[in-house]
Amino acid sequence: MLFLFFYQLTFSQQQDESITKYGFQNELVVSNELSCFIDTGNSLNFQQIQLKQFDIAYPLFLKKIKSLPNKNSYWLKFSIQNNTDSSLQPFFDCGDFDFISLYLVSPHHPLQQAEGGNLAHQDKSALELERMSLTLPLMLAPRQEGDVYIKIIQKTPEYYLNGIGIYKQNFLDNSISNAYYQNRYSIVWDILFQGFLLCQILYVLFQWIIIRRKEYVYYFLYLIAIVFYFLSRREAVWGIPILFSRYPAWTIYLNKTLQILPYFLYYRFVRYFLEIRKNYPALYKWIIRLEYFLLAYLVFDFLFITSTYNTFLETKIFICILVLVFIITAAFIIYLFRQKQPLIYFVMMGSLFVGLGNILGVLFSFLVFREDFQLGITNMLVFSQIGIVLEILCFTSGLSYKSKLIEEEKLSTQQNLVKQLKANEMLNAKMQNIRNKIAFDLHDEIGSTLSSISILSEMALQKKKDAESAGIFKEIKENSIIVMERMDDIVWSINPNNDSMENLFLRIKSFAAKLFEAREISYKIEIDQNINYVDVLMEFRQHIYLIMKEAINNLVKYSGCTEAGIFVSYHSSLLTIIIKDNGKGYDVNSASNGNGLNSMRKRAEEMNAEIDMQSKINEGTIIKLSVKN
Amino acid sequence: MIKIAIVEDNNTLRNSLANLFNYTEGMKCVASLPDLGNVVSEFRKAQPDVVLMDIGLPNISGIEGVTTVKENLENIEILMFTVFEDDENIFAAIKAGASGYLLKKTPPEEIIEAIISLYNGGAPMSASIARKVISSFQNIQPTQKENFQLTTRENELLHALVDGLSYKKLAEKYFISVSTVRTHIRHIYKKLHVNSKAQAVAKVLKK
Repeated sequence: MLFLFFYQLTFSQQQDESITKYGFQNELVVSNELSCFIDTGNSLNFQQIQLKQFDIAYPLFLKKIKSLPNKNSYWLKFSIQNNTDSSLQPFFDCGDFDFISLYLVSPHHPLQQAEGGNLAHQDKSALELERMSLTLPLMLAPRQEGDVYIKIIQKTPEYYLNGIGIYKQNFLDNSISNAYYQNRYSIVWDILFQGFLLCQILYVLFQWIIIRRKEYVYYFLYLIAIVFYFLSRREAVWGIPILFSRYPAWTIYLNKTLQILPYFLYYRFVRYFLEIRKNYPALYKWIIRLEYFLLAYLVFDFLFITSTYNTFLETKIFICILVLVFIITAAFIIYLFRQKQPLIYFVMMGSLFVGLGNILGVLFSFLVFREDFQLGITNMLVFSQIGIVLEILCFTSGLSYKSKLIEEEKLSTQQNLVKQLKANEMLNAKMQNIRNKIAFDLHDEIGSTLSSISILSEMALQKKKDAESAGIFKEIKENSIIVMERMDDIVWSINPNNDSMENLFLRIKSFAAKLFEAREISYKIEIDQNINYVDVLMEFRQHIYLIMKEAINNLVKYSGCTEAGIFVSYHSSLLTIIIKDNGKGYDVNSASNGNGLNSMRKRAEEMNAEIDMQSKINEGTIIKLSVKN
Repeated sequence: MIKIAIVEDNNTLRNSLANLFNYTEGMKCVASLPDLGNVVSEFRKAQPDVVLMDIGLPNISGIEGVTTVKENLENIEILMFTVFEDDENIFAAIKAGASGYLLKKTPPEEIIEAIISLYNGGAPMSASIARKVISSFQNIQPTQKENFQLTTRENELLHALVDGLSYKKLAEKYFISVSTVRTHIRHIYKKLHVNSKAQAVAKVLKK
């Protein structure tokens, strides 16, 4: 970035207007000096140009190019002659311009034309040699002589002209392979560097696929932006046409974009990496503003350069923006450093390396170009590249470290949860114990007293034999016994020892058997063996027990039957209980409001179970309860 | 005259029971204790035939009481009197030597019946208790003497009890009289008592 700045300062030395031959001796004859012409307004066609006088002085010519680049076209002219009896193919180095057109006008020969220049689109048919050396070839037939016209159109303010060079092909080959050979270290280093970046890109991509965190996306894009930046700067040296060699204009258009884009992506990355939105909301606002500012500048810069091509101005603006960004970044980093979060150190170290690399790069460019300092390397970007490599190592470590922190957090959260769960369980068990104890103590007290009530009323019943008092005492006794029964049932059902269906049906069996035998009802009780392995909620157990008790009580009290059956089976998560008798039945429609039947239906509803009560007068009753488990 | 002792901490109930027994023909309440302190000396004085013992007593539990009484006055029949049909405790009491249990919700006339039946050699057993008896005998080490294993008939009876058959139905099923059934059950209780004693002794010896 700053190199061109300093490059430009050295241009003031270019004055040589001569035409130099490389590799050619007497076989090629050229005029001594260049003739110049300026076509103001770029209005004349080639025919008209040929008629004009090329009489502008060379220094003036150069000055004009500098001051008014792109409104005019600039012409150079010299004569050339092939002194041999075989064809020659000289290659012309016409300086470092944006658009160059080469014409060869010869009597008795067709017009030859070649196009080139920094911004000119690379023809696919262009020779490798042409591209690598940035020269334009012409064919001279044996003994052909003519005039060479060079048309120059310049858009950007940067150019270089130090006379015209005419190269013989083998000379060009040699110098190119020499240059390549001399540059081989830096080319290999470039390749290693780009390779390293591409590896990182793949690695980050796969990390993102697995760990879906936003910072990976922006790190990925950051690396890609850097790859493209260095591609744009170094592709010409490698000699392989990849992107920027084919479309050289894009090097100019995207020069500053590719430098600012990484900053933008870097800020986004840091934002997500340090979770600034969550942790430092004040800082977050400022970073967002900076990001949008950079984005706006990117758009502005692109529009600016594509419309004006004024790279000098562009660079000046760029430097101001860069200084501003540096200062703000330093402020951010100091703020974050005070927060003493471990992840910040990774970011800081990375930024430090890159900053240092850039500064060293600029410093040494200055020394090499201005002060003629001998460094032994041609690629001043090395410092930035090393800085970036170190930064990448810091970031990658940082990302891994963050993953570790997250893991540890998860683990400790899990452990806390487990502790909590255990504590809860213990608490629940304690509560349950307390509840049970309360229930039992209560039951004990109440039960004993109720028992004595029933005993006393029995005794009173014995003593007072008159019908009225007898009736009352009988009722007292029966009521107290009913209450004791009910309490007994409740306490039985909440007792955790009675958790199983096995116990439930055992209790029903004894209860039913006792009642049936007292009334001399012959009975069958069949309970499926696999009931024992069924797990049923406590509330359901209560409901089932009370429904069955009600049904059996009704059967014994009202049916007047001689045979009764209780059948319990369990199949595909459905518990089926059937209680049937051969008694006198009841009218299903009229008896539906009886309290007992209603409470059975209600209980069944609470279990989401179906209860089916069928009865025909004198044909018996079947009660079927189906419970989904 | 059946001599009955009561051990019950609820005063109201204890007094009502005493009155009930005294009021009933052929029964007399000879001792009425709120807890097991002095139980042996009191019983030695009163010489009861049947004891109605609450399980949930203060200080010393009813189960321990059974052991103490049985150790000192062997021929006393003990009937556990309890609010809960708590298998664990009842079973422990039986192993300690009780002859059965009554729930406090039992109507008074049935209480009288049970005492008379016990006095005459009967022994009540419920299905859930029968189940526990079976499993208890299954856990017995083979080293103990043959006398204290269940006979085939006794095993059959226990299984039938688990199925919910009443004594009457048992009698029908096995073509024996109800009193024979009762005798079998008494034997089972005795063996249970002995086995548990033996186990206790073995435990102590192991220590």
